[in-house]
Amino acid sequence: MSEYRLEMKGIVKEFLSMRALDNADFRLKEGEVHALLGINGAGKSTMIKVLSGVYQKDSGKIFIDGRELEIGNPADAIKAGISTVYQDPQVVPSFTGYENIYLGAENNKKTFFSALNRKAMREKAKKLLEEFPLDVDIDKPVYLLSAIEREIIAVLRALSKRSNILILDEPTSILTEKERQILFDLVRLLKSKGVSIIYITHHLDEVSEICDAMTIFRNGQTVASLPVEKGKVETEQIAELMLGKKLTALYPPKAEEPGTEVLFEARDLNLGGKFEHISFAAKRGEIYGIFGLVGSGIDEISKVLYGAMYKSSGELLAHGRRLALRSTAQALKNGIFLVPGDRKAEGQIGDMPITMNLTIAKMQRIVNRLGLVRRRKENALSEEMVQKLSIATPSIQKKVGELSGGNQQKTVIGKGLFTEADIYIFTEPTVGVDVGAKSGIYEIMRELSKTAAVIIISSDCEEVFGMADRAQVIYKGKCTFESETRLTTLHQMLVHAVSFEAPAGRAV
Amino acid sequence: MTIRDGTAKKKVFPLFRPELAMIWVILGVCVVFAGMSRVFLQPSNIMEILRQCSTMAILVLGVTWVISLNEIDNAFPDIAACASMLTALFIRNGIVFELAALYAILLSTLFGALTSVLVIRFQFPSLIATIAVSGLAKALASAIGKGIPIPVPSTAGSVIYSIVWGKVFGIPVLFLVAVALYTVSYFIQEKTRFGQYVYAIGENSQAVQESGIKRKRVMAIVFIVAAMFAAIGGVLMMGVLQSGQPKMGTSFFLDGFTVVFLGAVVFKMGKANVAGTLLGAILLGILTNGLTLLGASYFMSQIIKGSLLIFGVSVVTMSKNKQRGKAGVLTYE
Amino acid sequence: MNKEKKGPISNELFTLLVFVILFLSVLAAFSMLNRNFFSVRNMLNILKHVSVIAIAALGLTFVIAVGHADISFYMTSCFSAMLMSWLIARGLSPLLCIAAGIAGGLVWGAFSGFVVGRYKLPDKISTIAIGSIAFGMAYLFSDGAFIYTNFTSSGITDLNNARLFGIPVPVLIMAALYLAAYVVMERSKYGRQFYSVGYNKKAAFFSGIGVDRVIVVAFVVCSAMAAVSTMITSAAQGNGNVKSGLTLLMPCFSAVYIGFAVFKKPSVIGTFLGAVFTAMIQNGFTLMSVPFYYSDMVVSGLLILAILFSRFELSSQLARRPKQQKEGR
Repeated sequence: MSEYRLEMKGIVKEFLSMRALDNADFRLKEGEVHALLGINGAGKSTMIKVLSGVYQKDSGKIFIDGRELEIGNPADAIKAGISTVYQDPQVVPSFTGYENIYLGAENNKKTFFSALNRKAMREKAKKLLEEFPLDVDIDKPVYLLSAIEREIIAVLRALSKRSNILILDEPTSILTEKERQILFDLVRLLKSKGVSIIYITHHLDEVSEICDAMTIFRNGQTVASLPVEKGKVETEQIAELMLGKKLTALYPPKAEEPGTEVLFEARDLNLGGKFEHISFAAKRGEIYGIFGLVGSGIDEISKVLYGAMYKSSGELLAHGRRLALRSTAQALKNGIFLVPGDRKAEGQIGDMPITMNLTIAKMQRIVNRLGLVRRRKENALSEEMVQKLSIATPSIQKKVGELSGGNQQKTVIGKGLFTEADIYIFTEPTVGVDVGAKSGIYEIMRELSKTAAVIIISSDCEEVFGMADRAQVIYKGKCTFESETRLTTLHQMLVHAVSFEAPAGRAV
Repeated sequence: MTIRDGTAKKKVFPLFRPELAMIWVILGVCVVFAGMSRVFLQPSNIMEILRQCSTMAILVLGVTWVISLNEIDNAFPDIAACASMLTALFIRNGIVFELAALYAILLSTLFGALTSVLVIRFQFPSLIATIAVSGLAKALASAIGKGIPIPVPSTAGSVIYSIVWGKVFGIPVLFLVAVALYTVSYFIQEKTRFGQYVYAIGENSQAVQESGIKRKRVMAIVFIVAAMFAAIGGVLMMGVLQSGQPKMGTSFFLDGFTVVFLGAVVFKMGKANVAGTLLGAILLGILTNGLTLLGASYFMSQIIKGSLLIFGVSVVTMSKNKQRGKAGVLTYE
Repeated sequence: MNKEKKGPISNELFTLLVFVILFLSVLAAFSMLNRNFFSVRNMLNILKHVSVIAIAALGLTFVIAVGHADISFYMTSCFSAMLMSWLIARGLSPLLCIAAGIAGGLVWGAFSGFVVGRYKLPDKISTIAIGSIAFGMAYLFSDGAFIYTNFTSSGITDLNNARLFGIPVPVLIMAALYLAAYVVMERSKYGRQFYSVGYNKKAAFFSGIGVDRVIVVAFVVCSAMAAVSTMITSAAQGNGNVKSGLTLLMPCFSAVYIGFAVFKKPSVIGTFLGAVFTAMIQNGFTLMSVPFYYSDMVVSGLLILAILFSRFELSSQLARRPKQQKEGR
């Protein structure tokens, strides 16, 4: 018997051109709660997806109880006693809680046409609930449940598999404080039963509260694996491990003097259930930042600013005029452009060539009076844009879907520049972008801010801190903090992103 | 509006729950027809309605499952036509009626196998796969009789004859058979893993895959079963018409989908289900019969059926949107 | 792994080449089996037959290009044809009647378009319903009977038989529509909008394109084209027949999808090739006095093969590349 329940050695995973995991290691003992820490893109999510069979590793080895194991698909992982609760749990909306808990494991028989005993399933689920006292109505169809209740259903589904290893992927991101305590009690209970738990989080206070050990990822590598002494987490040290020393070099210098002319203003924006009382003013000549964790409402804010979602109330002003945005086309007409957060689904048309992607948002510039495209002009303008943004491609006719993440994102930005807007909103501009292209994108944003108002909305604190001249922090849809970034610290911003009034130094 | 809706716990007298509205609609329609035509309520006419709607009900039993999967099957009318022609052909060549029907059903089920191979192995959209398969079935149906119907000698005395024309205590045997098939299907839909998975795939395919369920196998079975029931319906239709009809498919197309989507409005708001389909078939049978009695033209009944289908689809879509929730929806959605 | 060998020709060219070879061999086979196949008269016949299928398939191309399916066009076209015939019987001028028929198509297309594009009902089932209603309405004009009145005297059959520079008018109509559609789809900003909606609705929306409107327009174009196609059939047959449009469904879908398979996207040229191919095979079989139903079988077989072919190529392409997976956060 090995000392470790799980060992992952030298795991390598590459996506098209990026190394998401570069010789990463991980060890997990029996009955241990082990935190995985790291900034966005550090590789922790990829690591657990390799472990749970969603991705296949390119090289490296996985040992369970000392035996080497190949995990080719999710079913393999489940068989090996690994179950996962993802950030976005998948449920069947019209099924009841217990039906969802036992989806695919309704009874012990193998055949499709074996009788389904809902009563027995319900009893089993009830027993499970007695064992793990969680507050959820398992008799309701899950579409009537709240987000936390769905999460609990997903946790129960994982628990019902009686796994030895449970992966929790940022389980508290949508929970209230009370619900968090319920979850922690559950984690302690599981621990006492000998279950090993991998706990992914952004919150250091959670680590000190329930974790026994932590492993820190950076750039796809394991940088440290430390035990956790109860209640003592060296915030400074860990932040340094997570961020590395290269912090300043990545970002271009900030604006020398504050902007003067207000181009874009939001006054008391509300969207029911998503965010409330959001106000800010973006000026020509500087970058305004909005930082919040995933699920805090920042994505919805960006969409409301662009007319892609209706707001419940509040005012938007561009160039001093009040806007009533009902569509993205109107936003574009008013000189607003959004680089959406989900590049593949919302930003690019992967099956179209670069040139068509660049020009699609303002085709008036390349068509004649009959609406026919002037090819030569289009190509010339596209070439110019590709040069300007240094998009690495053999030809402007290459399909965007075939480019690397960084060049895809530059194409989306190029689409915005082509519209000649003067208000730019960047949502998660560097997700899935490698470091080299990252600094390129930052340069573009800074250059752009000299003549336009630029807003960066991101769940990457470092990025907002590094890029924005002024910024606000969103927690659960509310602004908790606003400041000039040179007057504050990264830590202070992070603290406000995880609680309404967190004492300084408790969180990273 | 849902059978398990827990939010609106208003105390509604059970008979007036919205998911049972269809029953009231049926009764209402009956009252109207009874008022307008004296023949309508005569027992013989009611039995005739039941006999007529039974064929349609059996024909679309499998389509109900396909719609539950969130796929579509355009091939069922032509598969039915093909099965009817095959049976007639076999009978003309001297094969016993029962065996002829069996062979025809087995052969026609192969179309379902072809559909499932195209959809699952080669990832055709189910619309295109079934359009192509329906073309094949239609062509085969025509080719068998060189484009014209094949009449069969009287089948009196055979099992099929007694199923189609027989009566037990005055109730058509055909209706009893339909009810029996629907009862079995209802059991499978409600009380087995298979039924559970069909709905799960239709609603959230990803959740099903993450749970390690053999999704492809479920889908294959559904497409094959759909073809089989279409074939059974076709054979019964042949028994009714006393001939194989190469073009009988055209009239089933709209009727079939109308029945299934009307059915989706009852019992499980927004989800195709077998009990609903049976009720839908009965409602459509009543409408067809009543309209004929009143001398309504083809165009009237076609428009009524089309409107019912649009109504059914709207209700289904609305209830799905309700489940998804409204907050945070993009402006174009 | 890295040694991805680029063949002497690209994948697209290879597909096209295969298609051309297939096309020529079918031509050769038909001409060998039947001496009349290559006669001028038969060629004109084929062209006339092509124009009926090709025009309706052209409309369908727009709907497929925006990522939807329309199963109403062949039924709404019956309505348009009957409306035209009814007006002709009333003694109106043929051009006016044709305009009315097209207007009928526009209305039904707008209906489908709004239901699918604006109200987001599922496209297949709703268009079946709307098509059925339209088909029912088509019975309104003559209760399903053929309309012969005034057909020959009104001049509409002459219009169909007329030739310009020796080319039949329907063929000219087809050529004009295809030219226009080609310019719109490949050269104009509207074509960009159709394709961008078809490829990625959300991204098109975030690029400021009115997705709803584009979808409505596609359905309208589809229905109008189908109306034109079936009116040509009526003019050729010299009567208004309720069921004259019903044979369009299969060949149109197969034309569009054959083109899809060859050019990897629903395209005007691809649809034209598909329509020519489909119509030629139907004609070839008719010439050999093979009954119509076998050509149905061949057309559906063709549809399956075309898609299978494109799937195989795709899978071999995927096998060569490293597995594409979603990037991790």
